[in-house]
Amino acid sequence: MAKKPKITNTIRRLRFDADEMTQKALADKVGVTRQTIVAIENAKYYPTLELAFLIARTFGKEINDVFTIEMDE
Amino acid sequence: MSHEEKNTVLQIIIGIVVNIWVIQKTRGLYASGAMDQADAIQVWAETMFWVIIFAIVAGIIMAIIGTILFAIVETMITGEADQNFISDERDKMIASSGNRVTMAWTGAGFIALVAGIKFGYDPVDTMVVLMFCFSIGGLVGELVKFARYRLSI
Repeated sequence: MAKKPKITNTIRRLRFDADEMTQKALADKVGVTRQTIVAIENAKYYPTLELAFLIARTFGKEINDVFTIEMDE
Repeated sequence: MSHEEKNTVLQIIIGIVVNIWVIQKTRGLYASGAMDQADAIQVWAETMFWVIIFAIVAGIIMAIIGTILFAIVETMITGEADQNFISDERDKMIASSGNRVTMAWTGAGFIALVAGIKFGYDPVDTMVVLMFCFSIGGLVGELVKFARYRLSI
């Protein structure tokens, strides 16, 4: 059986680059709870495409610059 | 803890209280011999009707009191209460997984009721099993939600 691909992200790095934006501030900008941002950063929850686009747009990035899929061979 | 996670904790507490009450009431009905009478199903239904009304009213009151208490405790610990009452996509996904578990329990209860009647058990006994599946299923669903909240942080 094929392994489930892992989606990693650079949100933490992007937050620090954006004047050390807090998780709460990012959550408020994209309309979710701070706990959801924590879960996404820790790769414990994969956001919907809509939320992923919103997060990328918040940092002025393309979705591929924020989220990366890792396929296990 | 998000608002929905706090609500889940409150629902677990309410679920435990309601389950204990359902068990005590049912045991009381069997002990008094009311479940052996001809009108057992009416007596049981009346008792359970008030249990359900109590559960709904207690749920609303506990949700209000719980929200206030959580705000007070949060203010004491962090200096400010979380005013964010939004329910986002992760909350909905977790709620959906909890609801699936509750549905499985209620479905199992209904199948047990049909099978029980088919195999000649007293209908009131099968109704008791159905009621337990409803109340326990609700509690288990909330526990699943809480576990998913804790595991996905």
